[in-house]
Amino acid sequence: MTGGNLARAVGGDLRRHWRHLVAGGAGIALTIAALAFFVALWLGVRGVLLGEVFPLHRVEVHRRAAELNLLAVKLALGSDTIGDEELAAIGGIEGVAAVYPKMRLLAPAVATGGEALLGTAMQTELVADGIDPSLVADRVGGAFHDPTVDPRNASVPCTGDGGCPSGTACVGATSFRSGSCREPIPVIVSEHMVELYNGAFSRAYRLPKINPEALIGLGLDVDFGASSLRPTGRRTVRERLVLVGFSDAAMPLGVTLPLGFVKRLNRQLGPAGAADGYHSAVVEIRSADAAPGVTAAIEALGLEVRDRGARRIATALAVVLAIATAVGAAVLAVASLHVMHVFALLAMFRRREIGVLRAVGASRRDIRSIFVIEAAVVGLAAGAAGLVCAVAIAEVADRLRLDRLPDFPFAPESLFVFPAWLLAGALGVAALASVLGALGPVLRATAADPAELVSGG
Amino acid sequence: MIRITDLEKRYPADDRRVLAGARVVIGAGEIASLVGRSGCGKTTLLNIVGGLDTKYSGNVEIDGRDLRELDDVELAHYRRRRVGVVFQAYHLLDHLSCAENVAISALFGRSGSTSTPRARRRRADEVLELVGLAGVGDLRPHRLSGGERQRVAIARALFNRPALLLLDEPTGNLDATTGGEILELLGALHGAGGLTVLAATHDPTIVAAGSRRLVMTDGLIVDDPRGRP
Ligand SMILES: Nc1ncnc2c1ncn2[C@@H]1O[C@H](COP(=O)(O)OP(=O)(O)O)[C@@H](O)[C@H]1O
Ligand SMILES: [Mg+2]
Repeated sequence: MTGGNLARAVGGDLRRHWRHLVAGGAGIALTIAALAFFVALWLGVRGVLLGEVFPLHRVEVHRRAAELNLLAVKLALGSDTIGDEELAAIGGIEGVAAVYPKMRLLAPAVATGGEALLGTAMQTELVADGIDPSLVADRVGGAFHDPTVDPRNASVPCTGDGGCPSGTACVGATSFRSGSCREPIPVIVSEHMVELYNGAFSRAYRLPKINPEALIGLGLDVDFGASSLRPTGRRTVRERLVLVGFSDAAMPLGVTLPLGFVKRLNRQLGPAGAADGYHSAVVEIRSADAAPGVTAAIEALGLEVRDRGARRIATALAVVLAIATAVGAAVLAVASLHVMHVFALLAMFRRREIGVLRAVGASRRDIRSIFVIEAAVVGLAAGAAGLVCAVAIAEVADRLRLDRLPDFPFAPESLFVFPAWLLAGALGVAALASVLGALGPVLRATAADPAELVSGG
Repeated sequence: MIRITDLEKRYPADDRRVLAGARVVIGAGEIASLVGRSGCGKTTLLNIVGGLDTKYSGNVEIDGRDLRELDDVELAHYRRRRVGVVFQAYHLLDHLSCAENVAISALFGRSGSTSTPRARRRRADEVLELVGLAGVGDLRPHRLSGGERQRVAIARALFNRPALLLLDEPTGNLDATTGGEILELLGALHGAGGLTVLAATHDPTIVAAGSRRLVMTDGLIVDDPRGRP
């Protein structure tokens, strides 16, 4: 049977039996509509939850705390840092895209500055950590780097900022000796700090609220090694810091500096071995689905993953999907039974016709091809109709939500995501269900000899 | 040539043998009539010879080839190209026009000279004219009389120029005049080329027109010498 003739036969049958076929396909269309709607909703909600509320693509890894509580003091047992070999091991885990080590500053520091903002200079103890600049490259860009290793910043002796070229500051000058001109050390802070400041701090101290963008470029002088709490008697290093951006990779309370800079300060000013290990590492995971496996592998290294809430969400989402899939599969099986019923009826009605076609020269394969293609066309049409319904209902649901429900944090434009694979998959499943439903009756109808079929036996 | 040897057939419903070792040889170009009382197995025999029934024992050879050796596709080809069957109930498809009914077999297989819709229609009109029904191509079969429908069924059987024509009670449902016309048609067709005809019938005029009379009794085929001219 040639393709053209097959198409002709199928086309004629579809026109002739469209009422029955619509009835048969309706079950599939409804099922596909429901399935596609819920999968799209699931994808949308999952995207919001994992992408913005509980980002799972980045988790922070710490050494599992082994410590002894002695009254008010905790004694750490063994090292609480992560070494280079462990970083390499994490990097080798399947599903890990990148590992960014973090190191806390282990020397005291006192910051002075803020006249431009507050009207009067403030002095405060400073907590700081260092991160790999590439961790925030997408948010902050190239401004966040370690300038002390930049060869362009050749030392120019100076006694104050005025003696330095623009964009650089005089670092290390005291009353007794001159300093050198250098780009200031870039700093990033967490957005939460600004929120905290605007929410409570500015009210308590009757200070103006600040717009985060206006803070970019704000300078701060910091004496590393110094403390306002007690004299350290150690040598200090004065540096000029400048705020270059905001990132949730920055520490929640404190400032975040380029890793190399912190490492050097720890070596110079910190206790022995302060620059030898990292205090944590941010692990970037290729996809949220890989998170459970990566977490398990990290825990096998004797380390722990802090974002347990996110993991629980991911597990809950997986369970919800599994349940939804099981229910969907059951519904689809019922829809497919419905198709089977319709095709069984049609095959029965058409027994004589099948017999006549066989008698004038159709092979079993010809008849099967006709019926299977008819079933596939019905399935595809039903699937397409179902998808149109699903998209339309999703549209209405989105509009109702935006009109009627209050805005909630992280609320996206649409709660539904219909990726291409979902559309293609829904069509495929619809066609498959229809063909599987039709197959039994068709095989039964073609098993008989033409003589039996035309005689009604 | 049809060679039937030790043909046995039992329907699953009862264990009576409808055909009980029938044997007969029908030469190419013969017009054989098959008579016997109703229910003796004439239709059963035509179905087997026409490749419509594969559940039998014994052998049916058509031009030296045993039907049992053909697979489903080959058997479909045999039904399509070599044999034309005219059912007692015609079995035309009412959702198709007469021309579409006549040309229906061209939908299947690689249909050669009738592979385009236009060529099919031309051939359908040709055979409809041959059976005396020029101009009915676009009508649905239910608009025609019984005799006309019979002839559409014959036209369908002749569409692919078969070597063997099987007719089941070709005049059984018709009045005498229409029966006569059918008979004339068969005579003309036979005269035109060496078509072999096997017709199950009660009709003495058909028997008389044929070259041979076969009688079915007790599941066997007996050659009636009175049928020989
Ligand atoms: N599909 C069938 N199932 C069971 N018995 C059948 C079937 N077709 C025919 N028969 C029986 O086989 C016998 C022969 O039938 P048939 O070949 O139609 O006879 P004829 O055509 O000579 O009248 C009859 O007794 C009939 O009842
Ligand atoms: Mg009969």
